[in-house]
Amino acid sequence: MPVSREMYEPFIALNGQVVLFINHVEASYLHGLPAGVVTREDD
Amino acid sequence: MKRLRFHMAEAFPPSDPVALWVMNLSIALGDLRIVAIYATRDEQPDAERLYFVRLFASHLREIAKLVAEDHKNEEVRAFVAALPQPGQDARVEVDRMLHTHPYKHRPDVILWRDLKRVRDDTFHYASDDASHERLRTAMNAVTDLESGHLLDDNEELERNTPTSPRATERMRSTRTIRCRSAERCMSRSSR
Repeated sequence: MPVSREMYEPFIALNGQVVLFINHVEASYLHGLPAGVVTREDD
Repeated sequence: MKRLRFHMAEAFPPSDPVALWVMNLSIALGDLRIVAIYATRDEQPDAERLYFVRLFASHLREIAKLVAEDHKNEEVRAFVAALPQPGQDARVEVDRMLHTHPYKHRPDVILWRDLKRVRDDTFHYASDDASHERLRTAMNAVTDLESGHLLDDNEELERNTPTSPRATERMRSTRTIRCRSAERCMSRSSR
């Protein structure tokens, strides 16, 4: 059966916000670690 | 581009409840990144899209609980409360979206409850009275649709299994023709 986009459009929108939140969590967590635990390098 | 480097034991000590929570979310994020691509890619058979959409919703249901619910651990609660405003806003928005009615054709359905329904029906299949009724409703909705199976060279039902790449290819290339007239309905290969 065809899957209408209306069925999963809300999942896409929610996914965007969930990903945004987790990105903030990860960034805040790493930023809050003691000095020297995380190092920045050119990739 | 920059790269952040760290030793796991220093950055994510397993005994730290906040590290445990963040690691849990990071694993969840990895799952979402994969399943979102598969659920929304442009070209794929309907059956595969339906599966990945169900998987997408199921992950979202479980991950939304990690994000939106209050946390039992005091240190995790304190960490979340101290997030910068954009992070706080994102969490509030997740919670708001979960309690909206996003479907035009199903205006009574709340997203949070729909995610639960999809998760339950995906991983428990029809296993209680409510899910049996949903399955009956779905079956009733397609009673006048004619479908079919492919037969292999031995006149046996062709199975889509990992040991049968030919069957997989045939299944991918098969489209079920939907119509109201039984004489015009048949399953056929698009090749």
